[in-house]
Amino acid sequence: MYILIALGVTAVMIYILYIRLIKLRNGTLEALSSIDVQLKKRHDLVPNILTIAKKFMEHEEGVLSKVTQMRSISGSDYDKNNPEEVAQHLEANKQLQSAMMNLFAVAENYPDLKSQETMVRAQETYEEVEGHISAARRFYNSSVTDLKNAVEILPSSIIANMLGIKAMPFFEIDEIERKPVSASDIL
Amino acid sequence: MTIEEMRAALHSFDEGGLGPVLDQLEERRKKAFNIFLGVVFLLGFCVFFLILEQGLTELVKFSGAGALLVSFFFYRRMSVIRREAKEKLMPALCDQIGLNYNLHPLSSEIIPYRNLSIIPSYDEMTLEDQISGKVEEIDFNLVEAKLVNVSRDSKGRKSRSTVFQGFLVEFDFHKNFNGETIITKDHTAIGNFLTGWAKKGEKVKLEDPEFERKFEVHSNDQVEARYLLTPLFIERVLKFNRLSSVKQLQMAFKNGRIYMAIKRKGNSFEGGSFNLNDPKLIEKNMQDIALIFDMVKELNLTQETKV
Repeated sequence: MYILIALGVTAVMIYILYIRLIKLRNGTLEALSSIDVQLKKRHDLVPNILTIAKKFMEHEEGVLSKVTQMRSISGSDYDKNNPEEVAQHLEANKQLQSAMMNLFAVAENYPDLKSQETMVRAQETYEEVEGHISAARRFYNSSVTDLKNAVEILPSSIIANMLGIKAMPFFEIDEIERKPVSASDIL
Repeated sequence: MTIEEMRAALHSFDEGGLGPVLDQLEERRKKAFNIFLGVVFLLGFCVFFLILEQGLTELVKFSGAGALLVSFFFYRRMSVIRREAKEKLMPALCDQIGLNYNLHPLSSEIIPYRNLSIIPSYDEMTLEDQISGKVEEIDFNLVEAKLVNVSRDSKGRKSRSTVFQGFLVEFDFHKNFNGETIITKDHTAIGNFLTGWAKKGEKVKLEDPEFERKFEVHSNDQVEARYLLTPLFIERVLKFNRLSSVKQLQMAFKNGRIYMAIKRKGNSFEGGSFNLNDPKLIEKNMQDIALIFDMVKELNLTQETKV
């Protein structure tokens, strides 16, 4: 009788841990989707900025082509359930952000471009989108922390191992990217 | 007008035509007080005389009720004079910095705050002192509220307790958003668990430990909540919450606006009880108005860098 009760309690506990893990994994995937929604906005906005910039920055072929290249890589499909592919996807988007910051820094050297009404509005929209990406990144990282704790701490780590649930990578911004860009450092 | 210009205009407030008006009110207050003392003395003397000389000891029973009645009439008279002083002073102060003042706001002003659950439940409310206008092109609307809960004990005796006294203020917010994000006081783990069922939206866990200790955030959009509550804005909220003039802050974002319920100590924007022409009284009202500038400045509501 006691053995049956003990088995019953164990089964219930395992089931609760299983539910929690699945919820955390789904929560992280949801947070990843919300990042993708915001990254897609940036992805769609970049060509508009490039079109305006090209008119004034003919001699900055390297800067412009880097943005185009990173946009193409960051927009590739990936498997959301595969942490390595997620990490590559996030890294590619970090590189795109970096290329865009470089573009805006170089654009400082072109007063005609800076004063263009369309460029001013495009830059404002870009800043707004970056704000949303940053917010989505914080939501994602918060979800990743919860999942990582559950996957690495006993006893849920055993269930996670059995189910093949892995921790997802953080979406971090490098320290150098947090700092305001100085045009003189780049030129 | 910038905040600094508004502050300067407020402090250079010249009583001008207001001085004689306040002096006249102070004279009336003194006169009313002297009449009160005279009546108390006269009645006291008569009662004392009748009791001692005529032996009308039953008068003792009525003397207490009589004293209460006289005090009540005096209190009413003083309230009218105080209110008059306030009605003269507050519109003049607000006008000085281009703001509008209304002594009796509509009771509907409280509805958004009640719907957003950033004020406690109440049985009775008093709204007064509505100040509205623009501070550095930011639209705002402020009302002073006092919310009271009425309860009855086992014998049916009524008791009143103030559950909120302070400012209800809304500002235009500089970011575009569609959802609803509510920031309330943290009631510790058990309290949050018990009150959590009544909260709208999901709990939002933020990175700042101090903010997490002091506030609970709920939103129907996790990403939007973090878009609004950036690490920098969180710091500003904490700094504003530390001001001595703020007892407790609760806030919400909805329809492009930020709503704040700021619990404060005592009544604000008052005409004073004694010395109605005292410059300190004007200074106190100026300090109350200046809290509006602190809100805009500390929370950086005018900035457009979206952080």
